[in-house]
Amino acid sequence: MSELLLDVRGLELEIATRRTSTAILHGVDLALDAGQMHGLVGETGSGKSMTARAIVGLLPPGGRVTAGSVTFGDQDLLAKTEAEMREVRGAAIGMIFQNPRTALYPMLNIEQQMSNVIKSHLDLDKAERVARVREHLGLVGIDDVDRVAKAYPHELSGGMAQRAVIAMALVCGPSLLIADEPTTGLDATIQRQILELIRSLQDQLTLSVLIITHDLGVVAQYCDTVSVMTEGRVVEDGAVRSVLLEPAEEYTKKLIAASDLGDIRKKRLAAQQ
Amino acid sequence: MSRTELGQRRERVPDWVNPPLAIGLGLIVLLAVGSYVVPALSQFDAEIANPREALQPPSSRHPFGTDRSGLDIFVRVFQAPRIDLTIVVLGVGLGAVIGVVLGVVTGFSRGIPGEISMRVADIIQAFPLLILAIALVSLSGNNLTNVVYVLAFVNVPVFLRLTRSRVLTIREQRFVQASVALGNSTPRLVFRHILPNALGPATVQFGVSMGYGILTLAGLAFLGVGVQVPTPEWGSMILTGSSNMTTGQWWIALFPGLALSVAVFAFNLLSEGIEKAREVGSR
Amino acid sequence: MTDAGTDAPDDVAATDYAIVVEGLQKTFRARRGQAEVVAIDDVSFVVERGQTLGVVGESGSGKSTVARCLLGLTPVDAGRVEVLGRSIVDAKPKELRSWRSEMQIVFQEPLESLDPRYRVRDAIGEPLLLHTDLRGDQLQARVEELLEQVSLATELGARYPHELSGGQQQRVNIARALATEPSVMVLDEPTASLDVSVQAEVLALLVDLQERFGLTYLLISHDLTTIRAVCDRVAVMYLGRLIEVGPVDQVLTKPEHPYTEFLIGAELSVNPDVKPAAPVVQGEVRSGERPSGCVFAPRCPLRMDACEEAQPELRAASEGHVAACLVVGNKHDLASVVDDGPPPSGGHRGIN
Repeated sequence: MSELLLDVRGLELEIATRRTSTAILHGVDLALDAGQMHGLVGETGSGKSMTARAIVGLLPPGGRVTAGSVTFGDQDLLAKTEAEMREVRGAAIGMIFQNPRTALYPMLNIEQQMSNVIKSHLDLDKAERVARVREHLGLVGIDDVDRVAKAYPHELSGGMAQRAVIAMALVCGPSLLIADEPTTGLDATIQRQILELIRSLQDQLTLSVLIITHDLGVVAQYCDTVSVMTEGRVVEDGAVRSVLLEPAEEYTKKLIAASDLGDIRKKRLAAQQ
Repeated sequence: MSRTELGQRRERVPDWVNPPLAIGLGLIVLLAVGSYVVPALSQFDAEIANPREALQPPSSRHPFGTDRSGLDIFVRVFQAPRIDLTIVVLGVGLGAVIGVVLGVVTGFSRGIPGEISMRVADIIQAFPLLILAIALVSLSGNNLTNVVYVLAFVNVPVFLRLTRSRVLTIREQRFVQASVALGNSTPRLVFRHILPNALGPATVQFGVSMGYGILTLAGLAFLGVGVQVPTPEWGSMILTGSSNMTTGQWWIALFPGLALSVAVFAFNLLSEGIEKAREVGSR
Repeated sequence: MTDAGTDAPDDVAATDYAIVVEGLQKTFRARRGQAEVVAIDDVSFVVERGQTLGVVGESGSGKSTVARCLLGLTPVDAGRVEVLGRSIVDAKPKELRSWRSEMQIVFQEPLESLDPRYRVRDAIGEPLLLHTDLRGDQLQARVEELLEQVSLATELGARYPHELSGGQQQRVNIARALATEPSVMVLDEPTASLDVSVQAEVLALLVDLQERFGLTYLLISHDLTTIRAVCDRVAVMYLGRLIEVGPVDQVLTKPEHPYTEFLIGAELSVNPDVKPAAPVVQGEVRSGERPSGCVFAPRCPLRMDACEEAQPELRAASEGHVAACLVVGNKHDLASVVDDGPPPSGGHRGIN
């Protein structure tokens, strides 16, 4: 029986401007057990990215959590100050985003960036840091570690950059990885490489993963559990097999049908008779 | 729903009214109208000297006082826009039109002409504005027509640069390729799609350049180039009035100076208003 | 063995085909900061009237360049391009412009494809102004007819592009493309930028329109699900070469080329019980020197010495199904050849 690692309950969030405030999340619940990969799936504007940002306290200007709780292990994340959250980010919770090359700082090479991350969380001397950086670059399946370590972000291909970003997110040994659309924009074959990598890292490092995506295929093939979101709410959640094979909600059914395009294919074949 | 004739040239954005635009435009219209209304209503002529009433401070008879020739400053200040506004609109306008056209042409066609035009623009802009203007007017003959041409000349680089850089960006956008795919010929593409989208910065710049244009004209007049005495023009009025500042007749230079500031301010507001108005319609 | 260049039988007259491409070649010259890129290398294919050919590939495959070259939007270096019997490559500009009424394109970016200063009705009406005599009320009526055909409310005609949703914008693009009743439509990733549920709607619309108007489609996509749903035949491209062509159901269930197998294996089914069909491919498309010999050889687990000597020709596997691989027709099992475990980056440095 896995323990509950991340517990989000009744999360409500709004974005306030000078004149109005818009409610973005209307009571989101989410549960992630240790060692599992949980998919948070929805279309644009569903609130999935905002949920992830609320968990790590990286809200946009004017963003406020108005209700709910976020518990990570035994810690109440919403109660923490910004300084305390900075310690959590990177060390306890790692994050990766879409567009890996833009997530990397263009002026430093990979080794320098990863070293900086280590410096802010762990007390290691330079040699130890370098070793740790190299170790993690190897872990993410990079063969030519020396080259990549000395390379600048713009010199890396898309897939290689995403591997570097993953290495950087994991270099301080977090127990939770939050991946926001990590494979969107990458070629399909590279997508699969990255997802297989994340899965194998899960085993090797006892890592739990919260993956945010609009792609139901990713969820179906790689996640253990899933939450389906639309318009700031979770409409259905549970084990992947039960949600995707026996969806209860209309929206989930619609999303599955749209990803499948089976109806269109049938129509085309019928028209040819 | 109203229908437009598709054959017509695209109009500018509707619902464009906003405070800076209204105030700026309003002030300019007031100045323009006032340049005819005020002299018509006044008992004094702006150009006929009246030595018996020279150097009088502001009073109910002469709200802005008189200068050393006895001319009523109030009438003169209000009549000045006839010259100031006309010359500046013509000069800057001409420069803008030439600059925009050149900007579109050099921006759209690739290669050498673009680079050459930019370097020529650099050279022109490298000269201090007033000195260049004075030199050109002196060379071509000290009359108002030449002042218009010179104003146009010194304004071309700015408009060329702005438009060209905008065209360089637009050229790469998908709707341009889509327009070609629809069957647009190159002239039609440039005239109907690229030019309208490229005018944005130029329109805003026009207001700003008008403000600078008035200052330039005033500066030229102040240095004795362009406008001749006794034609009322803010710059020349400030010129003649400046020497009186030290002898205590502060009103002679002050009021034209204030009017000048108001006009420049109005044009800057107009720019701001145009910028805001353009945002309303198409993003 | 069929003509190695095309997968069409030699005896069918050229005019039966809506699209004929033969020996297409396009290289983008080196500019400052960028190397020379061979975008299309000796690509040939045909499309029959009323059919849909899908062109699938990943980044660097050249598929989008094919779309542009087909309509003369990008000049080609060599090769034959004929649309509806007319040669695009030699066409004079004025001729080409007039032909555009019969061949149209819908791009990937719904908003950026529209002039931001044109209202919807003016955008749709523009091709009518360019190619027909319709004006005034008649033109408006045709615009309204088109809006209806793409299921958009007529009130939307007065709006500006940025006021519409992505799906609506793309429908406007489709309506505009249909305005002059073209016979051929090139669709360059038409739904890639749209939300999943909207994608399905737009694709259904496209299929419907094809049926109603007998359109010929060239669909460019990176997504096999879309290809499988909408296309009759599919061409697979890799690094500018056409590496497999055939009927869509056959190519996607019995692929002949290893790369096609990997591509299919990269598809992630929405059904959790349906596992990926192939192992994960190694490495990435590398920029830099083009391989002499088969373009996929550097990453191919079935690579033999012969593969690196010369580019394989398209060989027939079955009727209408060809692939450019030396092992075509021989049974091979990729899974047994690829190592287990997390896929390494493939030995290549991933440095551009």
